[in-house]
Amino acid sequence: MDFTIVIITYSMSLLLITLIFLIMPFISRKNLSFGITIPEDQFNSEEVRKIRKGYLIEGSIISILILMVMIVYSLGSSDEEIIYKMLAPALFAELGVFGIVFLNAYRKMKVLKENSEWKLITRDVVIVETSMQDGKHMFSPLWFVLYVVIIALNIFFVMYYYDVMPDQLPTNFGFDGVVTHYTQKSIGALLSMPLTEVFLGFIFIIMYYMIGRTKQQVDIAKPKVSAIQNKRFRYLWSGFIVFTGLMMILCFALMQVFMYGPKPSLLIAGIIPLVMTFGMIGAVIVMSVVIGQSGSRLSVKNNKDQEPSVFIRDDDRFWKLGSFYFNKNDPSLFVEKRFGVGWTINCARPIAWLIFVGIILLTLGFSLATVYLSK
Amino acid sequence: MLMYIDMESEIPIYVQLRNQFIEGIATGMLREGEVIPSVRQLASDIGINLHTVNKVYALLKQEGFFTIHRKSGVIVSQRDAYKASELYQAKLKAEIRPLIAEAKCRGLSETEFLEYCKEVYMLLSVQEENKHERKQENKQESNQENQRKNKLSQEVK
Repeated sequence: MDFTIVIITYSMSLLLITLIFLIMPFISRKNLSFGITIPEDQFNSEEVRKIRKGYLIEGSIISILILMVMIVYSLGSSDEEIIYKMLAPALFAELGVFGIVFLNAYRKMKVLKENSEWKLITRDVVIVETSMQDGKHMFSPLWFVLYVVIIALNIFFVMYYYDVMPDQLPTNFGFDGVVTHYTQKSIGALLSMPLTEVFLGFIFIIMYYMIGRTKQQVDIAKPKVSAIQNKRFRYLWSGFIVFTGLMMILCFALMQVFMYGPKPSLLIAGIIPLVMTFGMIGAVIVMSVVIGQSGSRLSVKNNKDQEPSVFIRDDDRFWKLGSFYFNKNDPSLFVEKRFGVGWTINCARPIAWLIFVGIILLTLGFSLATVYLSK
Repeated sequence: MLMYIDMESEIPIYVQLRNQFIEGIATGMLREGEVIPSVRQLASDIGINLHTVNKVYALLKQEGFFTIHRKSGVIVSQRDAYKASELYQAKLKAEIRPLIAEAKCRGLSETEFLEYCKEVYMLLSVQEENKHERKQENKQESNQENQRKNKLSQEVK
């Protein structure tokens, strides 16, 4: 029973990740195809669609293969615990596969562009809207106060119910309710959860701040509309970050309440992270589809560009492999991704690297700290 | 206000920026007291060096168009801060001189030259009216929408 549920949830996770990668070509800006700048009217041309189709087919087939390998291997193995070790390698395999499939499509696009006459209508013009920082620019950061409130409540809960809690705390259990690992009760072991919440809070606040520091990227073909879309894009995702951080902290706190509280329910404690994970991934997909990269899928009323021009700004030369932005003359730390939704770092800026590596080190540090505390 | 920066132009970027800021103030697209993006933000948005933007802001501050506000940062000054001084008038005459000299060489009469000046003045004020017109249009559109909604809800009843 437990095994079945695990297989189902792992498979669903893999399929959702695959889905995200498959919709990426459709939610990016219409003047970009697999990291290459194209005229917007070429997005649905026969040649571009052919390359897109190749990406979709290759990606789907190999993803399903990975899924099948994971399932068959786990079923066939004599080790009953093997399934738990399969998700991470499967996810990494997914990322690797889509990286290769993307690069394949990128190379084909590059060749297509070189053999076309699109170069004739590029202009190296940048358009900026001076009022971008006015009004509803970022979601209100006051919500972060709730993070502190929930973490404080969590710590209060631990202190208040410490004596009531069993001496041996269940820390690992299956959906059949069978506990597989116990930890000796100690303040350290119980504080590892609030510590994780603090860490998550930090990460989300840092991400919120980084979104605020991204540059505006207005489409020169339709400046008025894209300026508004760009503003809303930043606002909505900053709000998503605030909300997701809140949900994650709340979920972890509730998990601890249902694991060690006065009315324990291991079942509920097990379902909470599942609901949270799938809810989050689902929300990301919905938001990405509705908003689009750079807000390109948002509808804008009452503001139309007089004559949408045919010019495009071609800065392909700064995008290595269509994925990594490297521009020494650009003081920006973060720019919009060319493929997918969100932002990436300007590789030419050392501070951006510092932040990027810093977050990874922070994650490692906290993981080690919580492991140490649980001993 | 949208600003257009031609990265390939012979005109230096700081000149383009300065001219567009001043034109924005002239046409009313940038109002008195309106907040201007910070040096860092504008440099990042355009993708150019901070020094270039700094240069423009320093210039415009010196000329009276920009003011540093305690809370908001850089804002557009009040109108009397950049009124024509005698120094400016002398500078203007000096800068116009080569333009007129060349026009004269090429056979343009005084009247024709003044006509061009008139056209540009009209162009720069027409945009301010357009902004006003657009606001009226938006009001009209939303009024019409409200009327339509009211009609529908009445029909439902």
